[in-house]
Amino acid sequence: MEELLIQTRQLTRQYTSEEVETTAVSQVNLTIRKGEFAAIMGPSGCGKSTLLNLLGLIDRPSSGSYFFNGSETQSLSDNQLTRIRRKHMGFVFQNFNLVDELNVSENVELPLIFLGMNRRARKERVAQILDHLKLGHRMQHYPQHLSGGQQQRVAFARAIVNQPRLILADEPTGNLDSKNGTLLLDLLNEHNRQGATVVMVTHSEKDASYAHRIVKLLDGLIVN
Amino acid sequence: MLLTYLHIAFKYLVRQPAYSVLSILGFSIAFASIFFIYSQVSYQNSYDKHLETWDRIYRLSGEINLPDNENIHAQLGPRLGPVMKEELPAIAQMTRLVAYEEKCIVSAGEQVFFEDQVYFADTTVFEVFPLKFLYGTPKDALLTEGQMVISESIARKYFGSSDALGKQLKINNETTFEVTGVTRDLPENVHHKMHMLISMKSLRPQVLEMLDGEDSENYWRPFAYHFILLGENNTIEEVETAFPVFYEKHMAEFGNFLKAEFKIILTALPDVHFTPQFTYDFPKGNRSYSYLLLAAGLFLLLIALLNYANLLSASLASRTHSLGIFKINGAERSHIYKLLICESLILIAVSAALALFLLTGVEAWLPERLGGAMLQSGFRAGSFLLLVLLVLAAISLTFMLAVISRVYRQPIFLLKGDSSLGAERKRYGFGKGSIVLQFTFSVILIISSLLITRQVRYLLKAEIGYDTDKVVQVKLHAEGLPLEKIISFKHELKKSSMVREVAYSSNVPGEVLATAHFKVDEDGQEASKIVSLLAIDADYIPLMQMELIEGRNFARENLAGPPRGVILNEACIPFLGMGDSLAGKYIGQIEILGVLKSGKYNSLHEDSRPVAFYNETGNRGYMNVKLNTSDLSEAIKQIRTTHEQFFENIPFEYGFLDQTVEQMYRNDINQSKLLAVFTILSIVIANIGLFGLVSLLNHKRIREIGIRKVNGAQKWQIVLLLGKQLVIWVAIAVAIAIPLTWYVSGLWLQNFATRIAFSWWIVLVGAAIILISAMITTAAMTLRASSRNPVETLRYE
Repeated sequence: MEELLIQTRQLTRQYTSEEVETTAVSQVNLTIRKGEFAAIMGPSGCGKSTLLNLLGLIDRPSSGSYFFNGSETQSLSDNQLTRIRRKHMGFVFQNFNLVDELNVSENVELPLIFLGMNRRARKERVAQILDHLKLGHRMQHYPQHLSGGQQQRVAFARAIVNQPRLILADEPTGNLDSKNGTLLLDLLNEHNRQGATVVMVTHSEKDASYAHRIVKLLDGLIVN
Repeated sequence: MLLTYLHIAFKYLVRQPAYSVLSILGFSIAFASIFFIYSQVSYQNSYDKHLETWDRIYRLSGEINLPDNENIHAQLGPRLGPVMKEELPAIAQMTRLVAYEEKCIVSAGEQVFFEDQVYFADTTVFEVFPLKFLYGTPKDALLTEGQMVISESIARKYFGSSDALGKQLKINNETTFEVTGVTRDLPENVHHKMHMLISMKSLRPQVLEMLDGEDSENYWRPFAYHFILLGENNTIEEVETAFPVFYEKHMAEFGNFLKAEFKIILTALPDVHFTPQFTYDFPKGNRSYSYLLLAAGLFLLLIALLNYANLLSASLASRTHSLGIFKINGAERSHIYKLLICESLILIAVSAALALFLLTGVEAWLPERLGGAMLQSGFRAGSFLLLVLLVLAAISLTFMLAVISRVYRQPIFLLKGDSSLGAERKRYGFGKGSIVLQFTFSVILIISSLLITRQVRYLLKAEIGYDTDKVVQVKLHAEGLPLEKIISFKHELKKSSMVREVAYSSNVPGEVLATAHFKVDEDGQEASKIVSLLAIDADYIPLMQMELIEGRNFARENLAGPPRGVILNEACIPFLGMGDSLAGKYIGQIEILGVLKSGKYNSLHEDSRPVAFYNETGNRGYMNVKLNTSDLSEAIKQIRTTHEQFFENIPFEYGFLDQTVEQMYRNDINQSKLLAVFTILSIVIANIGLFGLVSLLNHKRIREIGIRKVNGAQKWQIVLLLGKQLVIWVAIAVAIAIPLTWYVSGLWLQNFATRIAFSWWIVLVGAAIILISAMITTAAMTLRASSRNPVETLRYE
């Protein structure tokens, strides 16, 4: 049997505000193997993004458990979660989530800084990746001065700069035209073939067609 | 790694100019004020602490209580010091300073100047005050008649170089002294300046003879300042304990004769400048101002820190998103923490540098107004303060950041800008509290500053009983010249069309006046009274536009001969206790010709002292010239020319009466001005903080504002909505500030004999100033927010 990267048991996330309780993710049991490309689909508000955030350790479940790479994550501290994230995960968001105050190369460099890599190694690595993504000439530009496609490629560069095992993408093509969308999906695909596991939330059947497996979500529950 | 953080922090600051500029502005204003205040306070604090023996030196003064009179004499009889040194083992050395006179004309060839604080000194002066000799030796510099030791700046002033050994200085155009030593200058902040010391042996022979007289009066008579140097292992208590026996042995005899009690007062040298007014002493400093300024400085620092906390939380609110990105990309809490610390350090460093830069600018501009020497000497100690400040700032920032970074836990909420967690609410609560605190400090400062300004104005305008407008006081220094010359000088001045009136007086307000004992009849008992004396001529009272309550002025023809009568000021009526009507009565053998309305010649820090005016014109004193014209410089030019015709070798020195009177409150005026400046600065900083908080609030409420606008709210209604809260905050601030200010200002006002009451309108004005300034800030910010297109603001999330 292939090794599991992600395994959840009865994973549940509820939001409580004042007196209203909303269950965004309900008792999800999900396994994702290493090297897999999975797409999570479902209508708006079904809990796709919440599930992705839980998998990406940027949100904590209300109940249930989550094993990442075989280790339980429930009992870990914030900082321990952060360390797992920066070593093993990369994120791509629909709205890019670049830091406006930093230029392209500094945005991409961010995860390496927190990994404690020395300056020269960082610069080399960032330059190499940006060249590969044909952004070498944009290194000193600020996000506001880039097109949507370019911004998403910068975000992608940042997601893979630490060579993560897991790439989490939340509607990565949602703000892109079809040409740039395809370009990004090709990049995800390329990295998946090189060994990275990819979990992608999407609305689009076309995007989902890149995935090996589609997980369908409705009202917080897995339906397939 | 630190460099990387600094780099990121720096980039952030550069790309958030509003936040950075406001923070730096707040900090640098506060830092500059504090550096300045510190330099002032340390100047005061280091008064007379420049010689290594300073902590063992005490000045002797005597509190002399007569049945109806008490006085603290800064000068005492010539025998006191030497005999105490002989008999009290705790005293290692003593020295006496005898003032030559209040002002001397000092000349060397062409160089002629007035100098004050010229002293005759014992040979032991350099043992008590170990001044550094540049030329000559302390041992034999003041041994014999005609010797003089001067400071290097005096040497340079008269001889062009500090090597003045063997050169000669002439004093009052009568006596010549040889320079036998040149000492290194002491800083400005010494009470007794020892820049011109003459050997004690140079006193006139009859005075010298008196020095050794063993009669009891010779311990009492105001003659010299006495300084004792304690032995290394002795305490001042030993001197205190031993004194009663000494008193019985040497001083009791004359004390019993006077029916006086004598209490020795031993003042540590650094306190001499700050003890309350003694007779025969120089103007004093007031430490309460130091404390006041220090408090103002502390307030400013606190306001600046709170201001920064507010700006920071506003800026954090607007960048929760980017912090979220940092966390998702692997930043631990400590990383974010370090980033923010780096940011604060950059801000503080830039602000401190800017503050120093500002201060050097201010320093160049201030000397005229506030005494530059004061600033410079204090400033040297300022680098120490810089360190303290940085540490203080770092501590408070660390604390603050710890609180703030705790708020950020789940990165997802940062990304979403979610406010349901209570994080925003907490931060908002912090902001509210700190704004109330900032405004409390500002209200305290405003109220105190208004009170002080009013008190100082009141002092200046208080009923002194004479008109100070356009009166020039020409210093007379014509020893040895016939009196006729003075009188024809007066007539010559009067000839000018610019001059309305000319009159002689021995002193001007604020000077130390001579005193006299009178035996008076008080309720059938004979009592001894001491009153101050002022010699004037018959033209003086009309010139000063003084009003006689009763009686008459002196007769004009009465020039020479013994004084036939006196005119008293109003303070004499209660003091003498001889009934309300005094004209025609006698004090001693002298008839009271009249009584003046008010007539106050001493500082209003104290009650008006009783003064007796007698009719005499002397060689020394002042010619008061009342001008007809407002062309003051032309008038002065004329007077100078006339002065030169009459008095060849005497420098022309003059002053204006209104300035002389103001001079008595120079310290008060300066300090109240300074406090006003700091108050304005504090309001500026507090408003910067408010700016931060309002932008935070608006940021949170952009959606709400949008929805209200969609539903038909006008801009002004939205401004009102936020303004309402503001009024409540300011009300709280005022409520906290009032009792504090009431208490503190009460303490301060006790410094003055004539004082204003704590008025409630001042509190209202203070509150109004804060409220208006705060409303302008809020209105401007909110108007901007509410002017946006509602669609934009609704799309905000």
